[in-house]
Amino acid sequence: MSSTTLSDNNELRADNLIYEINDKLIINGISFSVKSGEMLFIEGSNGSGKTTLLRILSGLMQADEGQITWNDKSIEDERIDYNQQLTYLGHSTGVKAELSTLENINFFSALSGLPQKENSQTAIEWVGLKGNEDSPGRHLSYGQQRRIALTRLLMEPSQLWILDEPFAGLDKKMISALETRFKDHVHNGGILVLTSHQHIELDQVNTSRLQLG
Amino acid sequence: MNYSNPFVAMLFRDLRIAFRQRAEIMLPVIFFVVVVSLFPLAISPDPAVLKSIGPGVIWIAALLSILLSLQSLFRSDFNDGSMEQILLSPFPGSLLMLARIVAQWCVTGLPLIIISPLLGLLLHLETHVIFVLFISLLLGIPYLNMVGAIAVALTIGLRQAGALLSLLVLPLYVPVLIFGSNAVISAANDLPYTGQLLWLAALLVLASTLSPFVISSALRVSCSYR
Repeated sequence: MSSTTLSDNNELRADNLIYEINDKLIINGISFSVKSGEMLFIEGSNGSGKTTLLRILSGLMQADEGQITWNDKSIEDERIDYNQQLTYLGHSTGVKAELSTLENINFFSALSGLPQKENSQTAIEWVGLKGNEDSPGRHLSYGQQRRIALTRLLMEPSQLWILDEPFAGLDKKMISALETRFKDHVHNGGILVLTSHQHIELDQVNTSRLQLG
Repeated sequence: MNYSNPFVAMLFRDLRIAFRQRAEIMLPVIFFVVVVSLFPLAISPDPAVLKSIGPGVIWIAALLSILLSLQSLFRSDFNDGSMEQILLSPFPGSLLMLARIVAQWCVTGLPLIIISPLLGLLLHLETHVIFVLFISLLLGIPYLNMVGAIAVALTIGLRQAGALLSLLVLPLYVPVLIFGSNAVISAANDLPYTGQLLWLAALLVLASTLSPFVISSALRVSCSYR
């Protein structure tokens, strides 16, 4: 369950990323590098391009110029390998309204190639959705739907987490459980890239900050 | 990596979702039945007339009801963020999209094919003609599903895609409509019809081998311009 098997020499590097929409420069020549055991905290006001940057980093969008490399290989060329290492959580949770909590979680794990379903029970307990296993997604609140998406952080053994506003819609207890999980991930050699309007300070975590806008 | 797990998971997820929205999945088949059964009322109950227009009517109704079902394809996945997760999965997008189309066919295409012999009887087609109608729909409808899915994947990012979708898709549907209804008309006139059916089969092979790749690339492009 805990990600002790992460290798400790990964690197995500962005070189001079440029992205514009309708002649408006959204991302203007950003470069950075994050290595195993590090966290990159992306800050910026609304509309400063945080989500766009994360979507580009995940490979969902392509930058107009510049390159993103994972262990010195372009993520465009090694998409399947890169996707295997990646857990991306965006604004939309990907939770289906028609499916129950357990069905949603099982689909996420099948989609990331996890062989067994025994982890899902632990994950449900971790996000505090015990008793809601059979409730369809449409009966759950926004916070509960986010929690379903967050189970992926417990189940998937990925090295790189790209999280867009992971704390949105969560209560204090879940936020602190999540912070603990972030620390474990980074200490185990994982990489964490996230945006948040909330100020977070993880002690003993090697954090670099990137200011947008 | 085991490729069958995500395929099966995707297929069953889509079937489960479809069967939990029963009203929505009944729509294409109800449309199909209603359109075909209105023709005898509006034109003429004369068996000779119905026999001659029957093949065309059934084929047109099937084509339009598939077109109708395309509107909701990929829409909810695109809006709730599942599509992003599907595209970021370590499995080939084409594999997952193939599962998606198979599910879509089971829900929208298969019921039309199953019910078509009954509608054939309604329009006074003879037994061997109904058989050819059944085979032609069996070969043609999956093609309609797959080619339609390509057009949906290309236009899903647009706000008002409905009209554009029909414009894109209808020219690609026309060959199947011609071969399909012509096979049935030939059978009714005791002419050879295997040529038309073989053409349908060839188009089906072409669509089923290429469309999963095209759909997954098109969705990637649509997702990158949100």
